Amino acid sequence: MKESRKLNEALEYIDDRYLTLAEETEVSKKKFGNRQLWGWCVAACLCCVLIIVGTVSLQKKCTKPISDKQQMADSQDFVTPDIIIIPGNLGDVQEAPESAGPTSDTYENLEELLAYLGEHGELHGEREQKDATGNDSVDNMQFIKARDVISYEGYVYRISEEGNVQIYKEGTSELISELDTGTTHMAKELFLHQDRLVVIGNFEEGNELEPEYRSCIEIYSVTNPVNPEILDSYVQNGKLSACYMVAERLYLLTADGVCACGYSRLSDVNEYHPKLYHKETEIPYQDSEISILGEPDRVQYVAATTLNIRLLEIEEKQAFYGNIESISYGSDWLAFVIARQNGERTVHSEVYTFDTEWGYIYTGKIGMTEQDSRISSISKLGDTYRMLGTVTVMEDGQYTREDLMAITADLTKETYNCQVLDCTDYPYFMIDEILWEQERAIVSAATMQVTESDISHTNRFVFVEFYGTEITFWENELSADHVAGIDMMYWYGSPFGQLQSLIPLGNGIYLRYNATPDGLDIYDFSDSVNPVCIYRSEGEIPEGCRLDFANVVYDFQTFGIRMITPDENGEYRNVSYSWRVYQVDVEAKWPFVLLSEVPVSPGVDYMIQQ
Amino acid sequence: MEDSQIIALYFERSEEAIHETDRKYGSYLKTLVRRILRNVQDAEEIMNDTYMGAWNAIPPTRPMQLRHFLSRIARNLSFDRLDHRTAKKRCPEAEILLSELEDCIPDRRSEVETIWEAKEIGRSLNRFLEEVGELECAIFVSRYYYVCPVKEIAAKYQMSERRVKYLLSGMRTRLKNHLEKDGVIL
Repeated sequence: MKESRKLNEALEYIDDRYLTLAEETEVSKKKFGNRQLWGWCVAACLCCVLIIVGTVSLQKKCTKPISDKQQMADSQDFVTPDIIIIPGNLGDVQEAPESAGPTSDTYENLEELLAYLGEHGELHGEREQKDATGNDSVDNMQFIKARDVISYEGYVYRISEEGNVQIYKEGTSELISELDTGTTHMAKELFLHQDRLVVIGNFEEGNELEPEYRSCIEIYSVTNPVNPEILDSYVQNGKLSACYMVAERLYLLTADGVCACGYSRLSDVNEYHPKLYHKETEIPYQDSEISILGEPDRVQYVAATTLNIRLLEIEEKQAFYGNIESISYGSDWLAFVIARQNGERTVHSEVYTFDTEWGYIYTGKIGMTEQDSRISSISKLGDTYRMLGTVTVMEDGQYTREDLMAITADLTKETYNCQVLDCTDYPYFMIDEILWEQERAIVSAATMQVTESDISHTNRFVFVEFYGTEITFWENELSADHVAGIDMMYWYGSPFGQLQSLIPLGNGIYLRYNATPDGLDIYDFSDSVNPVCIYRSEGEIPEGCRLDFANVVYDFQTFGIRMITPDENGEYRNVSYSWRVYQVDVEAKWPFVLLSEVPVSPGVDYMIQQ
Repeated sequence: MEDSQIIALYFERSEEAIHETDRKYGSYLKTLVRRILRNVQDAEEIMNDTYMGAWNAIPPTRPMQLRHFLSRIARNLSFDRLDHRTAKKRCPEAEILLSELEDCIPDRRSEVETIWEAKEIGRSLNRFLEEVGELECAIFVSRYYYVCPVKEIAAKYQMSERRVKYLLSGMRTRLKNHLEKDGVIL
């Protein structure tokens, strides 16, 4: 902050004429409006030219640029999707838009879209929207992830199984008090920023088949850690899709429009308006706060709200209507993957990107043309969006396989690259998990082996390296257990129920579950060309202890495992719980060194990240 | 009373100079100080200190524009006062300003707190403001010199808050590049 103070002090030396200008300048709306109109006209013309030029010349660019060191199987069926980039509001600050605004070419406003869907829409979604994925690994350090346990000033705040926020004395299981978060909603996520505690909760109402969701934000002052004082609260309609904080800004994303079974929740399409309440007073959405992404054929929207928890003010809000498949975000960007259905099964993914630093500013669209493709995960490094997904290969009109597709796109320079890895050697290739690093992504994919008597699954790893917009695939012979076979594993380890089987321990070392009882693997992925499994447990973790989940990583070589020990009869009726902290010594024959064991009561199974 | 007459009173060492200054610029200065400090008591003290500062500086200084001369004193004193408060008591708005300006810092090195440096940066800032359009200049100065809330700027220049933020964001990026080009190291 000292440096910015220096700059602030330098403002003292601004010429008087600029100070006078700031005091006296009045804007002629007419004059300014005309400039805007001209700007929009020029921008519209440029967009038309770019679309034409883009479709003609960019297709040429995307003809399988393969780097020398790339290990890629030769394939006659190799198909690279055509990419089209349509930049949004980039670069020209003078002609910046008033809002994210409608991004659809078809619908002028929400009423128009809802009117169309009311008459023509099928009123059901193809499938439920996927969860949102955050990406902070390559982002700035101010990015704050949601937690379910937080330590502050010698006290621990944790979300109980019942959805209450409980306060414990650190290092003990002594319950001090409980936050009065009301009885109608369940706490889901916690954030701590300085002396402010933020509780994100969810209301679930209505019947089981047609639940109505609302999400709430409660901001507490924890100046008195044992007796937090509520400062403010907001309620937003929709199911919690994502929440994260960047410094003191909280971003809340909720989804509505499609229920769990895939059908529209409300019979009246006109009721699909985003709603945000501050202490039961509705904060209305302006027309400029609605964006229509593409040409939706189902009623579905995501509402995004930015709340400054220090000033207790809503800074921005925006509702995005579209066939939203998934949401990705980082500290200053947000991207929606939109599915464009074409015919019976063909799906084209389109990615709409937004700058979120100062509102929700539309920055462009990356789309695939005439190709059955799906984007699974998005990350951003600098100005470059990196995307991974699959593209369907058809032969003689018949489905053949899925290939791995990687795309990089720089919307500011309007450059892109697209590469496809022939996955003939990966039968029934299906992406399980993608883990982004600074200049690399690790793709863990399930493959299926079918014999006359059995069907088995194996996971394979593919490394995708990114240097600017360059893409290189690295394949290997490593295989690992398909961990979905471990009971209930999908439900642990992630706030949104996503499996995170690969646990980075740092320096390229990864811990991963394997399917043997209580099993863990250790991989050295530091070299994409030669990744190795350096340890595979085969039941060495003490007998009788069932691995529950291991996602508490303290530092590069220390992690915690929650253990459930069955009773004397080997039954899980009277289990005892404990947290075990291990250090990993990858050089040792038995690489796990037990550092400590903390027995805990059922329901009080918290562990604190150091 | 004309500025020249008020300045003449300062040169005559007449206490009437303070009264006239307060009468003409009191409200203007109070707005500026309160925006930074958000504390009535502190603001009152800073107002008095500002007049004292002007009293000590004139003579020998003969300000070209008394209004801006006073605003500089008041602004400096206010930020100094802000520094003396504990972090918890700082005005959130002013802290946000400083954190926003942090984006413009091209490179960091150890503190070199000389007036000369501040003047150099000030000269670079002036060149930057010369380059940008009138409207952008006015918005930048309103925000970072006069500490105007975005809402107020939006109302004054008849545009949305979102647009004001977008313009400021763009200008900070350009200022960062400009300072780098000028070799400014903070």
